[in-house]
Amino acid sequence: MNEPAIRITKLRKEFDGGRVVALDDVSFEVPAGQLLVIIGLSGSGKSTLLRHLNRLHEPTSGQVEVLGCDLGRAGRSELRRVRRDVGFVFQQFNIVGRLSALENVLSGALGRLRGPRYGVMTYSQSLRRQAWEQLDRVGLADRAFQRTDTLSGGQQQRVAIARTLMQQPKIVLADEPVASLDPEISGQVMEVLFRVTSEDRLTVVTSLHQVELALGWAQRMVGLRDGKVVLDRDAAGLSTEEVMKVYTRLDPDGEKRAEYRAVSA
Amino acid sequence: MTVIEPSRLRVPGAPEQVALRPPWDRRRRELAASALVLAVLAGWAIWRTGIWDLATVFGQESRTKVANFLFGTSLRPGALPPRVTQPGLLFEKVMETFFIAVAGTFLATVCSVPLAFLAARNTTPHPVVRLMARGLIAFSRTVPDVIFAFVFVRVYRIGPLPGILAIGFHAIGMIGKLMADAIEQSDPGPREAIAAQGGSWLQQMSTGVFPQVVPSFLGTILFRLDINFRASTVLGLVGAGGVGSLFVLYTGNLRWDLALGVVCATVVAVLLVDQLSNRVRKALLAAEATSGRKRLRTVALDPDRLRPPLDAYRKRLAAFVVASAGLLYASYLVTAVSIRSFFYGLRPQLGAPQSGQPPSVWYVARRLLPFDFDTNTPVFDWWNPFVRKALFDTIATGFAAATIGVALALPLSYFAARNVAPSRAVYQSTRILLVLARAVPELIVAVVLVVAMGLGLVPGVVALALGVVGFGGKLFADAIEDVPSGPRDGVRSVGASRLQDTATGVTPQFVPALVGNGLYILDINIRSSAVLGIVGAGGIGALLSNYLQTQRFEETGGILMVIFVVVFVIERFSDWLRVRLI
Repeated sequence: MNEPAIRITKLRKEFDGGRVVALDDVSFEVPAGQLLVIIGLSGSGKSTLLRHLNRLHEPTSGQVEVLGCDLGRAGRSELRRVRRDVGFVFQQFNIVGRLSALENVLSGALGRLRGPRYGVMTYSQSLRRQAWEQLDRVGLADRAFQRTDTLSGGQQQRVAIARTLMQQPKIVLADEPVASLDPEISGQVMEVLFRVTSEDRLTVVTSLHQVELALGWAQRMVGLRDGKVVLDRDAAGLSTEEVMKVYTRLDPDGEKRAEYRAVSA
Repeated sequence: MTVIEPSRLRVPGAPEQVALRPPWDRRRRELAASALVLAVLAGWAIWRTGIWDLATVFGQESRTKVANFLFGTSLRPGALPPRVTQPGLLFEKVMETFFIAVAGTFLATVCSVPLAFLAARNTTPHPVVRLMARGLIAFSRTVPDVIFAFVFVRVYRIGPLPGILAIGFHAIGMIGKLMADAIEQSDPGPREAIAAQGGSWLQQMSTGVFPQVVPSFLGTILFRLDINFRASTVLGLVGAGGVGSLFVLYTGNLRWDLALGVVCATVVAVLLVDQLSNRVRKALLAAEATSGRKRLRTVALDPDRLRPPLDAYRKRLAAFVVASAGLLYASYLVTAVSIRSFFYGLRPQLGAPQSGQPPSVWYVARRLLPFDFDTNTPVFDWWNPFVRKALFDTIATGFAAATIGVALALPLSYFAARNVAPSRAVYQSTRILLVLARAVPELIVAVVLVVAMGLGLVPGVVALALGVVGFGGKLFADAIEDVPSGPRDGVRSVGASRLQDTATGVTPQFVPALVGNGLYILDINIRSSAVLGIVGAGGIGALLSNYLQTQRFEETGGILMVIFVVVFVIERFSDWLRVRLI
């Protein structure tokens, strides 16, 4: 199967009626099974790009194809079908704090199920077992019935990763998954994420601030600046200096300053 | 990110060049104008109701009247001592009251949960749906439960059924609002996570939003059960069942001693239910807060039988659900409501009923619109002198009662706040005083006072003011107890006296809550004073009961609309003022 997992064509996104251009003519493909890391400054469009891959944002123009489906043309039920195959790991974890870890992981099965669920016992025993096994994979089996808001930040994000795995996705998107964690915990969490996704041979697109971490795991890196792709290379042989260029601001005192401000606002 | 231009920053001059007083800016001008308007209205209200004339209120004539009422005359027995001659019947009626409250709370909850999801900004399917849901919630909050009961009695005849419906329908106003607010405050993250994996709207609600609001929902429902029980005790005054019907029976026979016996039993029951709902609520929420805090050993988990550990919260929740179901079934048996007649009232019949038949709800609802559909002309002239006078009387009664009540409650609340009270004994005795003041239903106080003091607005003002002391005192005291202690430590550390600490460390932090709750009390009081007329205490309620008894539904509806508008304006005003204070 040579069909790429994700194909982005001339994607453009404007906010505020065109006053802010978040993504500008972005095109690239992600082959199935690739681990791609997006880097860039805050406000360079990383989150916006990732959210388009799941149609949490509507593009201003251009096309996003995920698993062979043109998201812009997909109807509601088709969109939901595609989303079932696409896991999303959020910066703020987006788990319910007063529910147990197991129940949060179980909610990852909702896409496969019909109807509303509330409470662990509304899921079948085999699903509960699956959820517990996913928790075990991220090292939290003994926390299954602990409230997630009593867990540390790193543990909470691992619960969120287990929830994504519970979804049995083909693609995992992660939007700065460790940005709100301290450096040591960040390394642990990213290691868990990369280990389990490579075990399951998933396509991964993640944005990341830690360049060292990115260079260690990524197969390919894409750099964004002002919504444009400024770097797109295999990670093998990429030097830290080349990557850091993405992070230098262009003429920081020139006319572009106002734009930086608008984007970061 | 907004960049402040240097030219727009005012550079303060040296202290001798500027007068050191707060700037007279727009916010301060608006606050001063509001205070002035409220003060003028309060003065007008106190003058109009006649409560200012203490010489007459406590004069020789009224003293004689009260003495006659209490100790009797040659023509009728006095109210003292209270007597109970039919304890069995009394107990039966108190139980009926409780089960009316239970069924009403259940009804309101069942209606409120979906309504709240439609009314919350973040979960509504469409802004128009939200507006309609919010409107319905506001409407049921604005119309007093006694008036709902009055209307439902026309459809369902005398008995507990109209009481249950009235309690349920009115409680939607509070339960629905608090639930919608809780949903709006929930974290959007979990819901987004479920949407991102292809979950349906219903799944987003059930798994992303609902679990977050469960504790708040439970607290709201139990809190409302307490309020509903208090409300149910007076529904009998308009024929909607419960212990109030016994009160009406005895007062009709001028047996004030028996009526007072009913009141005493009611107070005891109110205190019991207050304790019950409070304790259940605390037990549930405390267990919820500690549930799932412990790490479980892996060996304790059997992967083939994964179920949540049966901790205190789950046990109590299960007990609560079972007990609620049991109570609901018991209320079906005790109140003996007929489901068939409930649905008969809902039959799709917009026209007039055949003679001898009760009208349908839809017929009454349509007739309540103050509009003649045959001639396409409005029926109700709200600016006619009767209505105008009654309306102003009602507003004045509510305003005067709120003013006097708050003035009395405020000093008490400092004694009833644990962190400010001079001693533990003062704190406890003031709290007991407040609880007692709150336990007697206002409407019953009003009935008694009308008989004891004669017709007019004064009995209504006194009855409502007494309720404000109990209710407002509790609200204020709770707000004082919630004041953060940091600023107080600051004031104390410079060696301030106890009084200075209270004045400077506590009061400024308490003012927003005082104003907010004060306006809330005003809002409640104007609604309550609209009902007082039903028991002869003057105001718009007298007109209302007159119109309803003579089946002039259009005029009744017109008056309901006027009350709705007045209360709505006050609600908007207090929202506006609160924003400026905080």
